[in-house]
Amino acid sequence: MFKNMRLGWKIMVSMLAVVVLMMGLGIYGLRSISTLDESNSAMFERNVVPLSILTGMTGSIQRYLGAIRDNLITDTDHEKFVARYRKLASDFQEDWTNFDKAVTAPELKQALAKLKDQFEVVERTNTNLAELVKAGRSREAETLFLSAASDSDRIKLQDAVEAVGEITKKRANDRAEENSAQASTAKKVSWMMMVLAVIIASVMSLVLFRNIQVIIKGLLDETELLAKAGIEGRLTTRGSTDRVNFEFRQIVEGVNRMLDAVLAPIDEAAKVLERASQKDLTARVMGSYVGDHAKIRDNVNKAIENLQAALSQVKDSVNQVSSASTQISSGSQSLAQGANEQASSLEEISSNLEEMSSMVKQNTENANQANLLAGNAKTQAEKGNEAMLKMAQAIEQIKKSADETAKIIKTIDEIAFQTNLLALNAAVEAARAGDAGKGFAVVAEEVRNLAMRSAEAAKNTSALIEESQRNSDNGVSVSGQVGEILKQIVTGAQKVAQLIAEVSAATQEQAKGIEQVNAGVSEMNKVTQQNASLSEESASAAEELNGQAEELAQMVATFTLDGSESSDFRHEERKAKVLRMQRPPQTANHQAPSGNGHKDGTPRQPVAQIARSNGHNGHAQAAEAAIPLTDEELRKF
Amino acid sequence: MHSDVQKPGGKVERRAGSGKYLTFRLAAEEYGLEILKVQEIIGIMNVTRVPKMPAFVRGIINLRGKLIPVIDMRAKFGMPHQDDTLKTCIIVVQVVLNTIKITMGVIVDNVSEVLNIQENQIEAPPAFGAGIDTEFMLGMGKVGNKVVILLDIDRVLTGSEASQILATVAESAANPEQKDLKTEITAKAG
Repeated sequence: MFKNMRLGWKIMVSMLAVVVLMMGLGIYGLRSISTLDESNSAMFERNVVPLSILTGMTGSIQRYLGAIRDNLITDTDHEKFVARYRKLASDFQEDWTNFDKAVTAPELKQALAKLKDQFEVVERTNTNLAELVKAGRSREAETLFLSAASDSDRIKLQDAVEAVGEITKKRANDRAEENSAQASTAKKVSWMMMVLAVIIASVMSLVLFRNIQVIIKGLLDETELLAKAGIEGRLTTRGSTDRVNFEFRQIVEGVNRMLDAVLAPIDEAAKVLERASQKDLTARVMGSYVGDHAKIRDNVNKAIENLQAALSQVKDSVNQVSSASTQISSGSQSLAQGANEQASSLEEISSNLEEMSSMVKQNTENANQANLLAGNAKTQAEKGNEAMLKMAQAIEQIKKSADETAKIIKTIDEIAFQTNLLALNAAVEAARAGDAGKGFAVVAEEVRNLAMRSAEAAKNTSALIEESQRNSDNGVSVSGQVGEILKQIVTGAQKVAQLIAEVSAATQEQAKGIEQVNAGVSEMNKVTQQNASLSEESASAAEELNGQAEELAQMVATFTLDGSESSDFRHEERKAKVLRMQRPPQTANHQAPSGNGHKDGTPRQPVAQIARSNGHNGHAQAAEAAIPLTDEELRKF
Repeated sequence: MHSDVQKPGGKVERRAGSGKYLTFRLAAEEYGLEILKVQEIIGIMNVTRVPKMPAFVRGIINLRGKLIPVIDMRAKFGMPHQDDTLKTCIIVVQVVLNTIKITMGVIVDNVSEVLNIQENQIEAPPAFGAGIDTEFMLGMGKVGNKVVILLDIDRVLTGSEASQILATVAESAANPEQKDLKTEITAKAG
């Protein structure tokens, strides 16, 4: 029955049993302690208190007896001693009453009565003694006191006190023994109950431990089973509920439900992927899922769509690659042709250069000759300059003599003027002379005429001389100008000589340059021939590329493709392309064959880009980019 | 050689007659002097300037020991001044100023010739109107295509000008050699 209980009930029952036992143990312990407490109080009240009273009584009796003796011995102050022992007697009486109240045992009461009686006997004797002492009959009193009767009375009193003490002591001892017996009983009972509780609790916990262990082991086994199945990919495996107890079955059931929910979309995705693996790209995950399952569905669908889009692009690209490779082929052929033409042109250039070289040599010789001629011209011009200077001096002399002549002419003119004046004066005188002066007047007129003519002649001569002076001045300035010009000719000739020397040097340089150009041209010729052969090779490679493109097209055709593509997919693809275009050319290198061709519509452009960016390795890499084959495949051709 | 014509206003008008004239040039014009007024012709020479004289009086010259005043005809006729040239001459004339006969030099640009001019070649000076003085002209001689202005040298200088010239002459004649002239002048003035 306990075995079939739920785990919670089991724990509760076990705990209740232990609690009950503990309560019993506690209650018994409490009771035992209160009993012990009571008997302890009784021992104190009935035994310890009477003992202390008894001690006081004993003391009082001793001091009473002492006081009586003192009274007998002394001669004076009897009153004082009498008062003392009266006081002590009343103390004794009081103690005795207290003692009697404190005890109940009849044995003790009897002993007490005996003590009281004996004290009264001693008291009576004592009263007599006090009378005798008071009466001054000390001798009698001494005798009475020392009599055997009174002495035995006093001993009897001592014995009675001792008897009471013995009885009280004995009773206290009995009581203590009773108490310790009671305590040992309580101890025993407590131990027994404790052991019982421990045994019960241990048994219960053992049972519960076993029970829980079994449950947890079941759960762990099922969990491990599921985990193993998950790792091994057995997705249909579920946990069995039989192996797990009662309420823990729900855990296994929940896990199973969860697995069902988790695996349903994966199953569908697996089916879709299986179709995709059979090259059918029209399959999609159709179920309506939420959360991460929706993500899985969307991502699977998107992956297939992307694959489909990529394949359609590949299809397009293959077509373009095919046409491009045809173009490359024809281009390479025309390039080869062009290279051949270039080679023949280069040969022509080479022969022209040789002609040019001989012409340059001719130029050098001519320049040297021109240099000589320029030197000659310079010396001639210098000679001309000297001659010019001499001529200028001659003209200067001519001018001087003309000046002299002019002075003479001026003198003649003055003479003519004076003669004119004389003639006029003569005419005046003749006029004054009246008729007598008529002949003289005629002479004067003739003289005047002569003077006028000589003046005229002088004037003409003067004009002529002036003109000749002007001319000679002009001649001087002209000869100066000619001298200047000749100097310029000299410097010009020097410059010409210099320039010709420079021309000569330059021509020699030119000759060297032409030789270098010639060497360059022959190098170019080699390169051109290489280009011709390389372009033929590239033409054949382009044809091979065409074949590869056709194979690729056939391969793509084996896929079942859906004709429609979603518009947002295209948008994203375009963005991706833009990103790719923005990368540096080295990275674009790897992407160029797949991406750029489709966007630009011309597959040549990226190839050219690569060739530019990669320097002299560009040829091989461009080939790689244009022909997507490995080196081993290429080597076959 | 010239005739005095009594004008209605009482003024005596002298007219040029046939005879010989010494012609000279001032600027572009040709002028004529009665030959009997001319003493001689000399080339230009140093002229000593005399202070406080009118602008047309160039100064005085020493003609063979005789001091005579010299007039610049260009200045007198209000023509622009011209520096002397080699052709510049001084015509020494004998004039009557305020009835006193003195010898005087006239500076001209150029002495031309001695011309014989007939009376029919001479016309009276043109009348320009009441305010314009033509007294110093004897007439206009026509020689070929040219016109010769015939001067009355006695009247070229006005009365006051003549007095100044006379004063100059009197001062310069203070030396003993010209004593006779001085007495003559003072006598005539008296």
